[in-house]
Amino acid sequence: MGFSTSAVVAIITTALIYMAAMFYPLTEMSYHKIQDAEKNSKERWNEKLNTKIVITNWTGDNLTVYNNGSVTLDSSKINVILNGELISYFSVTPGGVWPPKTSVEVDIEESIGRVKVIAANGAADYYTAT
Amino acid sequence: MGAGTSATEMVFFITSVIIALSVVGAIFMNVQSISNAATIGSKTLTEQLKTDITVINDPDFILYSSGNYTFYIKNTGRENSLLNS
Repeated sequence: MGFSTSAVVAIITTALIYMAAMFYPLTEMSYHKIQDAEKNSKERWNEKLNTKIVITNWTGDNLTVYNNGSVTLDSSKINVILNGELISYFSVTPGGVWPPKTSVEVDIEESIGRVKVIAANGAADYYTAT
Repeated sequence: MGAGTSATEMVFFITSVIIALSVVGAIFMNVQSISNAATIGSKTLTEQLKTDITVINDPDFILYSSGNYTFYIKNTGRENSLLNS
């Protein structure tokens, strides 16, 4: 009877230790993944809240867009909506890195209407020229 | 008498080992299922946290043709697998 009890205790203890050893790394990995994603999400929100673009001028076909936030943007990733329609035939100078407190020129091949410029993270500004 | 006691103890021993193994098996299956659920749950939550979309339409000019409105939705998150399911 004593030996049976010992055998049962040994089996259950070994199994519990084995299960804990299998369960712990998986749980830890899941927790780290979630922590990383939360950090990522907060960084994105921080970036979004610190992004502001302003269309300062529309002369001829050219829009002047000023980065009035504190985040460096990518001017080649902007979108332009002209009179409600998303256009792809615009060109941006200079393309690429768009530091804070600088402007880029966007050639939209149109001189009147209502335009919306959207940065990569969704920050936008409108301008109407008649 | 001695042989009878030994046989009884042997039966007790085998029975208790079988019961212990069954209990351990049942617990193991539950632990594995909880572990799988936690992994899948964390993956879903991670995807949700990394996903973000923004409607970028100009509210003054929403395109309307043949009974359909056109909405432009921009992927402003960090996940690529959008609109797959």
